[in-house]
Parts: sequence; C-alpha cells; structure tokens
Amino acid sequence: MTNPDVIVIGAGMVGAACALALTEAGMEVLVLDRSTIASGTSGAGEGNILVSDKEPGPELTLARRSRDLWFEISERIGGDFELEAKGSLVISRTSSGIAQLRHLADEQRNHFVEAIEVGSPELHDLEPYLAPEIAFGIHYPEDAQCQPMLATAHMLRMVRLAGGRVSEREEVLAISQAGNELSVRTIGGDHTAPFVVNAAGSWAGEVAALAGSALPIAPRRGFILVTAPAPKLVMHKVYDADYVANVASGEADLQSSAVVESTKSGTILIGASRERIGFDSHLEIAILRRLAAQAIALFPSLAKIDLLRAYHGFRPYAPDHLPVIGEDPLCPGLFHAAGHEGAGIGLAPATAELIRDAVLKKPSFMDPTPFSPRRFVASS
Amino acid sequence: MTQIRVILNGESITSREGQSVGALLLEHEQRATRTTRQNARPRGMFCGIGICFDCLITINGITNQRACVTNVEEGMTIQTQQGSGAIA
Amino acid sequence: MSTISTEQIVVVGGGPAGLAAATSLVRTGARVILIDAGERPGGQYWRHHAESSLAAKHEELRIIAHPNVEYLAKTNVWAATYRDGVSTLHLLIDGKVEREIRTRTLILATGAYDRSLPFPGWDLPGVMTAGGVQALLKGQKSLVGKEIVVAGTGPFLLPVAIGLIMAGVQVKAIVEASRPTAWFTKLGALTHNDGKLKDFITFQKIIFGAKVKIHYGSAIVAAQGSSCVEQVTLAKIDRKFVIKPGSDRQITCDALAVGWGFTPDLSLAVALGCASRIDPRDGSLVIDVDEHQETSVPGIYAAGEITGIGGSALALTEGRLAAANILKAQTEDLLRLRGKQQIFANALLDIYGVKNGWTTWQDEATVLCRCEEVSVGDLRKAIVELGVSDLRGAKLLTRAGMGMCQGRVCGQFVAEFVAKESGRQVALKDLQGFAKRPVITPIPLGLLAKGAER
Ligand SMILES: Cc1cc2nc3c(=O)[nH]c(=O)nc-3n(C[C@H](O)[C@H](O)[C@H](O)COP(=O)(O)OP(=O)(O)OC[C@H]3O[C@@H](n4cnc5c(N)ncnc54)[C@H](O)[C@@H]3O)c2cc1C
Ligand code: FES
Repeated sequence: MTNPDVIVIGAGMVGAACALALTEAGMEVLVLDRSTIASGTSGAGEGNILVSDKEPGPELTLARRSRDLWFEISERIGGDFELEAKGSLVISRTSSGIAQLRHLADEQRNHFVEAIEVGSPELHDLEPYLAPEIAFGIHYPEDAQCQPMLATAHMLRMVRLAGGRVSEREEVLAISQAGNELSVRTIGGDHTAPFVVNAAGSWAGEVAALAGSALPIAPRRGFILVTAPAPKLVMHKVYDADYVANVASGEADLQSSAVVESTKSGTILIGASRERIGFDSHLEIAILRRLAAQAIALFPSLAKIDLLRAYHGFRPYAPDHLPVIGEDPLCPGLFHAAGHEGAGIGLAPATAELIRDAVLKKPSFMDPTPFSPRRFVASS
Repeated sequence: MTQIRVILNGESITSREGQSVGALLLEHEQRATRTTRQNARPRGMFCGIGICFDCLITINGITNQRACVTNVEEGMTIQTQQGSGAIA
Repeated sequence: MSTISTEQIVVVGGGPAGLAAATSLVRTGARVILIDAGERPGGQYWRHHAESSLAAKHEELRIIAHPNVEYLAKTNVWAATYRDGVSTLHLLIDGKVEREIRTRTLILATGAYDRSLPFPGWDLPGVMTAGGVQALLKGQKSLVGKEIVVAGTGPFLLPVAIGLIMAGVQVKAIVEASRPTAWFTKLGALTHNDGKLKDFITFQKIIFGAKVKIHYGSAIVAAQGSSCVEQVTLAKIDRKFVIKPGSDRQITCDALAVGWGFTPDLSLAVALGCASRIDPRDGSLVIDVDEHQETSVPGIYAAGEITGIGGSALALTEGRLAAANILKAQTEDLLRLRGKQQIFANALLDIYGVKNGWTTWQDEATVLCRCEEVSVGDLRKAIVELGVSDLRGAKLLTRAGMGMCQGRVCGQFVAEFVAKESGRQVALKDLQGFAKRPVITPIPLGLLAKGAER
C-alpha cells in the first residue's frame, strides 16, 4: 500500500506527460500500467505534432499550446527523443480540394498558424521527389514530430528522478472512494491518493467503469507502413488534403490517405488508415495496398523501395472527436485525460497542463469546458 | 557454363550463369558489399541464406538487394552501397 | 494475381520436412503446391549446386518434377492470413510477381537458420555463420576465405570444416564449446541413431588426417581486423560459457565460420495464428504441434525445425507424419521412429547447449543488433535510464530488432541479454512479440500498390 499525491493510470504518452507536469508541480506521483511503458497506442502509432490538420476551435488552441510546450519540455528534460520541427506540406490535385485547402489555411492564419501557399516550382524545391504533376500545396513550417516511445520514456525518467514511481505490469482492477481520497486496487495491492488521473487511452472507458462512471471511448484502428531504410526522399511530412477530411470523418468504414515522411533512422513511414472495427488485430492486406498506392501517387520513387514492416494501433476516440480532459462528475478526484484519437502524442503536453491546473484548481491557458467529461456523463 | 557480363562498380567483368552476386564478389576478393548507415562500417555476407540482410548492395539502381540470394544476369550493374545508397 | 481452389494441399518449405511431406502426399495421388524460397529444392541440408548429382540419391529431391506437384521456386510467402478455415498465402515470386493462393490444408516446413551470438568484431566482413559458409560452398562452390577458423557448437561444425578441407581451404582450427566428455553421458541416447555416430567417427578421422586441431571447451570470443577479419581470439570457457582468465590467444585467419545451433523461422506460422511455445531444450520459440504434427490452427500442420530443432532425419519423419495424418494413413511406424529420433535430438541439444555466460564476452561497443547498429552500451543505457525490462521495450527504445532482418538474427539473444541485465526471465510474450512479422519478407511498394483496387 502506498500513499502518493496522485496516481496516474496508464504509462502512455498522455499518462507520462501528466505525470511529468504533476511532478514538476511538486506532487509525488505513482504511475501504474498493466503492461510496460508505451505498450498501448503510444507505441503503435507515429509521432506527428500537427497544427496543420486542425480546424479553428478548441482543439487548435490545445494543439498550438502543445506544440510550444513540446519544445520547452525538450529543453528542460533533455534526452534525445528526436523532436524536430520539420514542417508539413499539404497538397491537393483537384480544384475543389485546392479551394478547400486555401479556405482552411486562411482560417488557420487568423488563428496565428503559419501557413504558406506554394505553387510550382517552389513546391518541388521543397520536395524534389514529389510527383511532378502536383502543383499546389500549403507549407506549415510549425508542424513537428518526435519519437513517442522515447518521449514517453524520457518524461517518466524525469518523474522517477524526482522521486515518483512508475510501476509496470500492475493492472488497475477497481477504483473506489475512501473518505476524501480515492482507493485504487491493483493486482499488486491497494494505493490511495487524493487524485487519480485516467490516462488509459483506448481503454479509458473501462477504467472509468471501474470507478462507477462511464466514458464513450472506442478504438479506431490504424495501419502504418514502414519501408526499408532508403535514401532521403521525403523532406517534410507530406500528405494529401483528403487526410483532413478523413480525420474529421465519422464514417465507420475504412478510410485512408497516406501521410509520408522520412525518419531519422532512414526508414520512410506511410500512415495511416482509419477504421472502426473494435480491437481487431487481423492483417488487412487491402489496406497495405491502398496506402502503398497513395504514397506512390505522392512520391513515384517509392515504387522501387521495399515495404519492410506494417503495424497497427488503436486510436482512442470519442464520438465528437474531441479529447476528454477534466474531472469526472460522478467520481470527484478522478480526472480523465483520454480520447485523443490520432493526435494524442501532439496534444499530450497541453493536456497535461490542463490536468495539472484542474487538479490544483488554477486557471489555465484556455477554457477547458469543451473537453469536459460532462458532455458524456451527467452528474448525479 | 554460360558466361555473363556484368558491371561491378563501373567495371565490366565476367561471371557465370547461376552465380550469386555474393559469390562473384568473393571471386574478386571483395568481402564488403556496403557500409552501414550510422557508423559507415563495412559489411558483407553473414548468414549466406537470405535471412540477415547484411550483404545489401545496389543492383540495377535498386538499393538493398541481397548479394547472397541474387543471381547475376546479363548486363546487370552492381554497385557497392554506402549507407542507404542513392536514388537512381 | 490468381487464386486457386482450396482443394489442393500446400506445402511451404522445400527442405527435408517439406519434401518428405510432398512426396508422401503425391504418392497417393494428392495434388500439391510446393513453395520454396530457394532456387533448387533441398533447403539448407540438401543444398546443392546446379551440376550436383544429389537428386539422384534422394527421391524427395526429384518430386518437384512429379505431374501432381506444382513447384514454385524462388518464391516467398510475404504475407499470410487465416480466416474461416482457409489460409491465404500472398506470394512474391522471384521478387517480381505476386500471386495469391488459398488452401484448407497447409503444411509449414519453413526450417531454421544459424543461431548467432554476439561478440566483439562479429560484424566484420569475413565473419559468417557456419551455415552461410556451407551454403556458399554447397550452392556456389565459393569460398569465403583461404584460412578459415570454424567455431561455435554443434554436430554441424565438423561437416562444415570437412567441406572446407575437401575444397582445399586451410582450416586453422575447429573450436567447439562443448567437451567430448559430454558424449559419454549420452551414449544410450546416441545409439538411437548409429548412422550419425558412424559419421561422427569418420569426420574425426578426416580432421585428424588433415592435421586440424579441435579445441574443445573453447570459443572464439572476439574478431579483429580493419576492413575484414584478420585474426580471432580463442579462449577457454567454463561450463557456463564464461571465459577462463588468461586462456586467450590469437589465431590469424581471413575468415571465421561460426554457428551456435539453429533458430527456427516461425514468421509464417505466427502470421497464420499458430500457437507457439518456448522449447526448454534450447530456449528458442517453436510451433506447438500435437501428436499428428497439427498446429493449434485446424488444417495447418508443421514439420521439421519449426517444431523444435531436431535435424534432417527427424524432419523427414515429421514431414511424412504430417502427410500421413492428412491422408488418414497408418502412422504407427512413423510415430515409433519419431520417438527414437527425438531422443537422439534431445541428447544432441543437451550436449551442445548454449549457456548464458556468453553475455560476458562483449564490451560496451559490441554491436548487438547488426541491422540497426545497436551496441551493448546503447541497450544498457536504455535499461538503466529508461527502465527497459523486456524485448518490446528494447525494440521501441533502442531499435534493436527493427532492422531489415526483423530481429531474426538478434531477437533471441537481445531478449536473453535484457532479461539478464534487468534480472528477469525471458518471457514467452517477448519472443512471440518478436516473431510477429506481418510483412514476412520485404516487397517493393510498387508491386504491392499494383494490387490495390483503386
Ligand atoms: C496508426 C496510428 C497513427 C498515429 N499517429 C499519431 C501522430 O502522428 N500524432 C499523434 O499525436 N498521435 C498519433 N496517433 C494517436 C496516438 O498514438 C494516441 O492518441 C496516443 O498514443 C494516446 O496515448 P494515451 O497515453 O492516451 O494511450 P496509450 O498509449 O494507449 O496508453 C494507455 C495505457 O494505459 C494502460 N492501461 C489500460 N488499462 C489499464 C488498467 N486497467 N490498469 C493499468 N493500466 C492500464 C495501457 O497498458 C496503456 O499503456 C496515432 C495512432 C495510431 C493508431
Ligand atoms: S540484427 Fe537486429 S534487426 Fe537484424
């Protein structure tokens, strides 16, 4: 039995960022994970930190703050987690697509996002191997990326250095009120703390249920292709504007629109599909084919490069595609930080800041109401 | 046995039908097929049966081919590879 | 791309197990598709050169010409799925063409490759696996060097050395980690295969005649050289494989053939969902089969090394047994033979066991993962600073196992290394996670994209 100030359930990117923010606020933190660090979705996706795919609204505010925090954290905690502001290039081939993209960029600019329109030949100066017929793109220099498993591990390294604990292979089985505190029962015993953070990602609904509450968080599967190490072919993150439409889509059936980028290790990542079929791990070759075709449409030279690996993860999504951040109306002391769908890496630091401020009952950089669990859980 | 001409690092040499690129290189006293991506260390055939992907080499402009399981073909260009190699 | 009816039996792997299965099947009139990555049938054991007369000796090698056999050489199954009793295999033929086949009855005989252990300098050109040196010699009549040291452990080292001696190579030394005394404790079991025992004695005579010294209880623990291997370090090791201080000396050579037994290649079986287990005899991950060589997936059988390392004779029997069970034929004799051969295989694995003292041979700079150039120091740092405690963590945080071989070379020993350094045991989950390779062999994106519907 231990008595920390706060218990964080889930050692993924979001849990690690929350644990770090709370540790830096002077609290003693215990992080519990039923498996090992970054063993959930954070170890099965990509590390894009994007503002380019966000429409103006609360998520964009969160994304912009988060992007800045990423660079602050990197300065502060060191450890190389491959953070790099390589920028994105969003292209479109159709006149309707171009019009939509222009419109989105205009709106984003009004919200202080840097979005630069590029036509030919500048486009091909930025991306020499881009398909020659592509003639329109928006360059978002602020878009960045990190290696999420390393980022998670380095944040948790800081938590441990400050006296916090990270307990792996310790599954949470029950959460109950114990006086003014919450008692968390695990396979290893009981822990009590005044505050508990639910950062269980795609499994956050199950954890909420353990506390007698409910969250409608479900998995949205995504496949990613990894090529063999290749010559540097792709300079930015490059994707077709269809991607933004895909991200926002509520359709259950398969969607995909390739996002292509080179990694530090020399491989090229091609992500990602989106489909809602529960926690189904079956390999779907048709998805791999489609992603390959879309990537080649952007970069014809990819045709000669080998696919080396493919993997999938389950994005945690809420019905309205916004993360759930804030205190549970039914279980005081339990704070949710989950449901970030395809943006949990990028949004983790700002989410952690909102959680920290909510726990400390301090004003935050933005009004967190749009993310409140109250939109799904009515207080009794 | 049928003689085959191939180009190894820009030089035209003779090989035999059925010979693997790896065996051809050994015949020409060349052990390394490439240098590594991070530390530029020389590497050559290791497992010899297509499992380890250490004997990578550029063949006909395509990078990362395995010398041990690729047989020579008439007119083939073989280029030892630096790191990830170059785009054809 | 074409799809065939699900009535044909598909055999993957053209080594002794797969060929034996195919042979038994076609004898009764069954139709078989035989898929193999090699350019000629035979696998590693029956590997032969184009002009070799080996096929005259073994009916199994000639079965590819049988009218009921469709033989696909140079063909890799690059991906596979199993649903509702049907296995779908995605084939890559000669690296150029795709084809898809489905079957309700599948025999997996994908074999094994050399097991490696890391030591300083093992990444130098000229250091090869014993199987690799053998493959070059048998398949290509090609020699990796002129002055070669043969090292590691196992009954396989002597035939490799002899092959080299016959080819005119100066074998500078044979270095065997086990001790001859180990044989005497197993004599009972070894009589289960007197053919092999006779071979062994013949081998000893040839080696003695060639004046090649066998160093028992020893290992090559380092290799040195600038652009390729120039010398190796020979040392005596104790029964746990720890180097005996002061026992080391240098041998000059231009190549090293080193093998530590074999690692089964389970990628295809795992992709199809076949259950696996850790073989307690050598710690490798193997496919779980029942008495009938059937895996946990109905209709999928496994034979040969992927069910546990056992050598070619056992592989032949297992292949025949799988076929007999598919044909609902008599199996009593085969079962009895398999039992005897297993006793022999167990004895060999015991004599030539790898002990985890090898984890003391490295320095901080020694490469563990060859593909991604992850060193011992890199891995230690991740264990100490980032709390890595399992194979998955090692992979995600150091890239060990993320390279082009997809951890086939480094997976098992990185698991053992992490386990030892973090005070844990290698877990089944560790090895199973590593064996999961949805893309079994690389395929050009262009080819993959061709099959997209739109
Ligand atoms: C294909 C794909 C691509 C993606 N690309 C990007 C991208 O480029 N950029 C981006 O920002 N996001 C991306 N994402 C999304 C991102 O990965 C997720 O939003 C993010 O990882 C969620 O982090 P998390 O910490 O909430 O969840 P997770 O990382 O899943 O962590 C949850 C943890 O909770 C633990 N847990 C669950 N139940 C319990 C319990 N009862 N007791 C104890 N522990 C428990 C789990 O073991 C797990 O470790 C992608 C996702 C996918 C699938
Ligand atoms: S040796 Fe580690 S992935 Fe190939």
